[in-house]
Amino acid sequence: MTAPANTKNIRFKIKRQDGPGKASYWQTFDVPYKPNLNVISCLQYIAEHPVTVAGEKSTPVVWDCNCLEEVCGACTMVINGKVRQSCSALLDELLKETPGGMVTLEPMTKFPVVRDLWVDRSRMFNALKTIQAWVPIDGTHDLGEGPKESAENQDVRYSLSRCMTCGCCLEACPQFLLGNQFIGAQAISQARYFNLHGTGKVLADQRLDAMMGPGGITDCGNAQNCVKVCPKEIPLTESIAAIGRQATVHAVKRFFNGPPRK
Amino acid sequence: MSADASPNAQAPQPSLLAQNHFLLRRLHSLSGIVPIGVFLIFHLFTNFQMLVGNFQHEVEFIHNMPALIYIEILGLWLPIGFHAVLGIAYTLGSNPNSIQYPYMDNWRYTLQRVTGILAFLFIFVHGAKLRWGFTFGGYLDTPFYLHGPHGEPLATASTAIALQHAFPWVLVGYVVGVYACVYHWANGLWTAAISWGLTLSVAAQRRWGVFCVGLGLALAVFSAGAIYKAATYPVADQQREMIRLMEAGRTLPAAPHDKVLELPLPAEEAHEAAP
Amino acid sequence: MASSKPRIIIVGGGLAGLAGAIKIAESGLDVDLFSMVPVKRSHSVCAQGGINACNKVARQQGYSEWMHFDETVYGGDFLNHQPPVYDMANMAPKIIDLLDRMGVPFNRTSEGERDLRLFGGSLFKRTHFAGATTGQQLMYALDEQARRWEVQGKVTKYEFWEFLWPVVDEQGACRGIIAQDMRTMQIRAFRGDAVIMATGGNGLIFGKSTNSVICTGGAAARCYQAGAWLGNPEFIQVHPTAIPGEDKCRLMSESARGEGGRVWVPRKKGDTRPPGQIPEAERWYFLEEKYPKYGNLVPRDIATREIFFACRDGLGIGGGRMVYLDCTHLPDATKHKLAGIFEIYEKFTGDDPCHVAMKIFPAVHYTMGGLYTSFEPKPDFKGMVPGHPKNMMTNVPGLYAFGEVNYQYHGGNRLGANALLSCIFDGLFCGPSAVQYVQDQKSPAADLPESLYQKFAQQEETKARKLIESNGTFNPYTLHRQLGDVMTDYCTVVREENGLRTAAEHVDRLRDQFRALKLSDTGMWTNQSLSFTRALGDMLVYAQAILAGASLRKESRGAHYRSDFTERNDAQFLKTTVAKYDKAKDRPVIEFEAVPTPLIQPRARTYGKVDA
Repeated sequence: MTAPANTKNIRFKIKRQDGPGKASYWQTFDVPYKPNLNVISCLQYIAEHPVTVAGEKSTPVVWDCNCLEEVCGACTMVINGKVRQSCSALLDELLKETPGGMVTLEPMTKFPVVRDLWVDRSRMFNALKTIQAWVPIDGTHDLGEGPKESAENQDVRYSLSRCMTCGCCLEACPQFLLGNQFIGAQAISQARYFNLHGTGKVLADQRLDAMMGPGGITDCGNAQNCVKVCPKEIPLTESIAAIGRQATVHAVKRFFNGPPRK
Repeated sequence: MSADASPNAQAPQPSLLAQNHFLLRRLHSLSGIVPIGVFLIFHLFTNFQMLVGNFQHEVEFIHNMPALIYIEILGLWLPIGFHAVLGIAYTLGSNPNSIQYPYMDNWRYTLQRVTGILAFLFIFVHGAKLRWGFTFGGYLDTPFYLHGPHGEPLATASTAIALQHAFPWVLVGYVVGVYACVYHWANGLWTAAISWGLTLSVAAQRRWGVFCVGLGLALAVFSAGAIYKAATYPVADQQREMIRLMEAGRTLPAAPHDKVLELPLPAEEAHEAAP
Repeated sequence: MASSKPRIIIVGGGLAGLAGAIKIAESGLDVDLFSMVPVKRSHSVCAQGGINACNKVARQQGYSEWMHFDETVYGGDFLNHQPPVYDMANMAPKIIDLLDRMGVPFNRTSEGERDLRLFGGSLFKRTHFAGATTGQQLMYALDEQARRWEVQGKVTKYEFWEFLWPVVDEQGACRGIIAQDMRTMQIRAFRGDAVIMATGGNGLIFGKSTNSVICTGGAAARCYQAGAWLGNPEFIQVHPTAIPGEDKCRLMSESARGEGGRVWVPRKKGDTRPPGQIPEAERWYFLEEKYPKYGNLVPRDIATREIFFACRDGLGIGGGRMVYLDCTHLPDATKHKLAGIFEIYEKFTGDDPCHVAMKIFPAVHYTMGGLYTSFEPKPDFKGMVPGHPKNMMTNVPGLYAFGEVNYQYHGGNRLGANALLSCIFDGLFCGPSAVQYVQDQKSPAADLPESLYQKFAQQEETKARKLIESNGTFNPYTLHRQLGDVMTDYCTVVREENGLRTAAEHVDRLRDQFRALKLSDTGMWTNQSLSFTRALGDMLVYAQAILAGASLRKESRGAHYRSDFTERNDAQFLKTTVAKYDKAKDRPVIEFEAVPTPLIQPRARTYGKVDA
């Protein structure tokens, strides 16, 4: 990697929108190149110097972020056409993708825009309610240890538990759309996560019921984009298959046993 | 704990479609694999007989099956209709993005939807034409007869005439249609194993993928053989004339059965016609 | 809006806030939970290494809750209040069990038991962990339980709402808060019969730290300006191992050393060879050499200073401000346990720590100080009286502080993997104290006159408008960068009188400039500049308290190292720094309050250092 000259600017083309329902528009900003920049530090520079390439005074670009080390899931956006975390999107890598030296930033398209690059992802958190994404413990009193667990099972659960609700999997999914009901890989994988826990699986049947209605597991189209864009390399397609199997077995059982007694 | 009652407990009664969402999706998957898919294998294998076997015999076996029309309706046309209607509805609810995310699996996904629609159009035209005798306003007037009035074998000749009609567009249509069916089925078989939960791990999915690709290639070879044969088969003037007369509704000049066999047939056809 | 059912407001949805919310909801009270981010994205997710607790294995090797207690106090250089620490160490094993039951994927041994790792300040394996993202895993478990209560209507979340000010009634008690919706910019009052601050640390005061962008300390600074006191504000933990970056410094967990990672520099100054080509004999493992007993696992303040001094003496990599943290020699299974942090290092630097030694430098990490709180000790000082309303209440009645924003537990220096513990402990142990306080109240907040709330809401409206309309020349983002630079330069690893005075003057100047700034965004929809600028004003106020405390504490203790007073001075400074905001002078007033040491007497804190 050759270090470009100090004077070099990186041009950012940013899709902006002043609020929900407002028309979107593009603005371009220049950010002086330094080694080891990430998209966040460039947005911070623009916040301090909100002047477009054309010399117009603008406002700091609004975006959602928090930890800046790819563990909180907040800063997802579409960068050069591909959804990812803006904290771990390094300029030296991005510039290789775009030989022209231009980086485009857009908000995710599968969630309603709040402003600029900030979108409303409450649908993802609501999905966690739908699938009862929790272990139904009796309470916080001292009741001793949790269930013993094999190292192998922990390894699988840990890989699933790293989901930070960032929304990359849903943004890249051709089946998950702004207006539809599909619950998406994130929640499907979380359902698997809780069904793998000794106590969590008490609610497995209810999770599967929730997972078998419209927008549930069967709405997956197996495009497998989710697993490729997941920044945490969560085995999402394996989760989809696992919940598919559980749903199949569950449906057969339901067929012979009838609906659950209330 | 009552705490864990489903959060949707208060929701209004869902529609019948919504209630049976899972069943419909699984039936959609199943209908593609078993009746349609199994028929596809038989059909393409039978066609392949044109090149290496006794096509006339195979075709006649199928056509002489008892209660064929019921088998056809229940085992084929209904599943195809069901599979197609749901498939198109599902496709309309998707937003393919293979340009933006050009992963191989994503192309596979998009192609599955494209081939589904192509296959449906092809099957409709193909069936309407060759099975029900639609002529589509004369544009696709390609009569198809298994045999002449006296049992003269015409399976291959008819197929060839149908395929060679309006050359090369019909040929192109066949190639596209047949390969769309093959791809759609082989890929559907691969994804169904994930959807039903048979192939859990990435490794299992890869191995099953190898199998599905193999199966798809085998069907592709069968199809290629049949299409090649039908596209290059030299239809004898007598056969063409016989079909023309049958089409015109005129009876052919009475002739003893063995006379017909004296027609100068191409070598393969003679072999086929041999008892 | 007014409901006569008592409610408790919790500000902050990290581990402390969520643990409190769960405990309080379980006790039957309703909770309003405020957070600037969806609670699942709170800064607690950044904790990596683990959570300490005495456990079956360590116990059989001679470890005990008492030793955990002792380590924490020794690690904190005896500035900790001992009864709360005593309780924390004793409850730790039960907290681990609870987290285990909630489904935290703690690493397992081959027999299916919870695995353990070594951590700083201890010679026993007493740290439970889930890969190298333990904080995230713990956060998610509590987030899930809180969501369960949310579905039942016991917890109401106000996410993307920013705390602006505590509502304090005429008797001086906290009766609610003013908050602003960060999207619609609506400012409104919320009634609460008790308010729990669980708003974390203040790393952003130092510009680049390992903290998340919301960790401005703004909420604590607002309480401070509203009359709550700060305790030990000058105690800021600088973590020895972080990856310096343009936007922040990314933590490289202590677990890397806990699992066997070694810190070294080339013995030859300015050695430019790649680390892999420098032979063993030419490496200086300075921590191991100076502290043979604890090695790379000396407490953070000590490791940080040693790294800092090595670089100051020109021994840093290539003469610069970096040292090696080497994990290349670790077995694959161990590397697997650290995959979470290695992945971060590789993503941000391009080097794979499995094959190349990491380059790290200390960075501001944790706020030991915070809102001043008190507690009711048991007569023998072995713990607090459970459920006593005083526990972790600030000097403002009804206003509590849990977690990192609470100055308790860690004294002058926090031990690694004690933070997650203290946050959860606060929520679980002291949540009932807030409940008890609410139950003791005669007049519920719901019955108070609307005018009280309107007055405070109006005050915040006015402040916001003033910022929006300010038509000066200074850019808030530039001022923040300057604040960060000056605080980092003069008030982190090594402090001394002149530097502190320089910094204080600079911060005073920044406060003047702050009054003459100009926002580039003056809109009233999702205006992040307003939020940031308001926090900047509060960071400046907080910085003054930090500097004042640092200047007056003329000794070296824990993370507070004075090059002009290098020794600990128990006679004068075994005391809590209490910073009170003088509204008239708009300045901190510093007082010192003796720290009783009823259970463990101060002793020399050397960690077996040999003079090299």
